[in-house]
Amino acid sequence: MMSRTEQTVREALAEVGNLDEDAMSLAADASLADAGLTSHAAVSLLLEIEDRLGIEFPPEQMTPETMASIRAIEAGIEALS
Amino acid sequence: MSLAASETTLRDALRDAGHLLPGPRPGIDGHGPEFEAVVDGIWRAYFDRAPAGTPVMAFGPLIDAAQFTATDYPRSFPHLVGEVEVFDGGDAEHGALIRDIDAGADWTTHFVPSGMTFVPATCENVYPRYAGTLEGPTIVACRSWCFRHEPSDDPMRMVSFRICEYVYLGSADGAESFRTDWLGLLLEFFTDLGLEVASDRANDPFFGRIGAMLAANQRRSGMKNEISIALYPDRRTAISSVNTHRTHFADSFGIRQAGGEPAHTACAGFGIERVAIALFAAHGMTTADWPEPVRAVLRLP
Repeated sequence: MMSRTEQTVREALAEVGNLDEDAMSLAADASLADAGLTSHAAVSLLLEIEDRLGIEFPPEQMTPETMASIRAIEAGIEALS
Repeated sequence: MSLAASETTLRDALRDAGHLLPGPRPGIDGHGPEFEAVVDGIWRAYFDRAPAGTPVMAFGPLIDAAQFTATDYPRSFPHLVGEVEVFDGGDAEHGALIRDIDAGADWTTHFVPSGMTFVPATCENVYPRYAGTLEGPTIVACRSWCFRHEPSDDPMRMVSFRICEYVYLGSADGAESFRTDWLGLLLEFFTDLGLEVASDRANDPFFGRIGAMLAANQRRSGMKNEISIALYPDRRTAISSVNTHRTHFADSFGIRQAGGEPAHTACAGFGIERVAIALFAAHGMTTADWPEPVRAVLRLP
């Protein structure tokens, strides 16, 4: 069962990620860079997730690692709560 | 040993020698004749390195606003962007404009966006011109005036300045070879000009909170190399860079290789005034006294 956070991340990814693969079926631990997420698209994705969830990532989480995979993004979001 | 004691001592020496003509605000100094002779010598010497048949393009300081946003520059450097506004009113609006100017009020509210912005890097005007399918790997030599809003007392950091560069459009392997070859060529070019240079991975001033992520990506990817000199005592100063962009500009502008796949691009160039100032700092304020081999490369009279 997909968590609500994961669902939101996948929807944001489908909206702004411009991936080569389907964001809804991509493995949660697959590399987003390998799936075609550019550094610029990663910025759009981060802002989109913040908007959808009403959160703000702190400076120490503004790293490529935070956006490495759907699971990594989820973990980053959960660390905020 | 640095070439200058500080930003202000270098700026004042350039002004005292008549090479920089002080402006009313930082970053828009004019240039004297000896400085301009060096500027012309630098870009001509760089363009002399062009492979036979290389197209040469020169542009003004402007770019179409839609093409500019397609480059993604505002995503990384919004603080450096300049957008051009124009007056499109009639007689009534003209009267209101004059009244506001006479009153010392804010007259800029009578202006509207022109659909153009200043261009922050010359190559941004090249990529859109290659939308479509390339006949084969292509190298272009280009130069233009540029604008970046980062006013500073450091004479090396100008708001209005010129860039000359080579742009590559073609395959992934071709872009990588271009990067290696032109980094080597630029190091040799500056060494021939008597500058002690070194290259390293770039560290651009990306804006704000999300800039930290872009900066980390840039360092890790190694997609941009800078060439720097020991100008000031406390830090090295970049005078040139070589960038690969993967398919970023091809995706933005629809540039394809002959086989249909997205083109890879790369560029290699420098701010011309920056290199000119580096030469004055290295060789002195009088070009007649510069080493003969340097004068010969620049074809100084």
